[in-house]
Amino acid sequence: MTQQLYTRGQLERELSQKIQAFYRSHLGHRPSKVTCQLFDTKLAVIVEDSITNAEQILFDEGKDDLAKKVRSNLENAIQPDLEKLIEEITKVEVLDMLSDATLETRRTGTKIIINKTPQIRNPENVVKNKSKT
Amino acid sequence: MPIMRNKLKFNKIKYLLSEKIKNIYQEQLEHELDRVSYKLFDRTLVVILEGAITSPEKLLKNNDHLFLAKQVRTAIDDVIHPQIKNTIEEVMDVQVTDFMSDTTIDNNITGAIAILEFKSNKD
Repeated sequence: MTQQLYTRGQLERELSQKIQAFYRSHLGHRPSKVTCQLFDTKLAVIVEDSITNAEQILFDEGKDDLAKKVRSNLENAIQPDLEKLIEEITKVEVLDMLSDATLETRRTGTKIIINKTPQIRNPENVVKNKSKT
Repeated sequence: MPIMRNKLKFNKIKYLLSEKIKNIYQEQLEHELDRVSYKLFDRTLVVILEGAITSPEKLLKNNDHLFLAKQVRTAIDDVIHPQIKNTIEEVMDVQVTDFMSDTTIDNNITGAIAILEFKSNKD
């Protein structure tokens, strides 16, 4: 049985939904929105409202450094499982994952480097990297 | 008995306290407590919150960051526990003259002791 390929949009939506559910199951907190953008061999994930209430309490109480430390450790803790999830969905290998969060905006941005562009139905729609920094 | 000033049986008070305490956890931490139990004797109310530890704290603990999880818990308790104290005062119509509480992350449990001062029946 051949598996039907996703379009780029479908793959990005599938990733977004699964990542949203992943946050819920791992951190007990459901982000309001997750946006995924696949381009070339990179995947950008923007998680809105990603900060847990526990961290928010720390931040609100002026314990910014502790909140940042907690966020950093939480990201490290969930990273292996998040990598696995992305690999399961995209069927490609995750080489690197770079993540940062802003407590003020409750937003997390993650850039994921994959070993090749995932197989999709409309590969011409994958944006190629125009510039490298 | 002064405690029955509002003509509520203690079971009713326990129910109300549990609902309100669970709501505090749900609204502020998005966390569901497993169980809240009480023991009232004389002027002392013992409150036990089971399943008080949130997912982020568990994640920290399970990834060898117990000390950090404890720091988080201290900050959470500093915010939540005064609200529990206020809830006890409101529901039981008493003054809590002392509120001592602690949480153990390993056992996922919070214990609190409230020393109550019953108000006079006369307003």
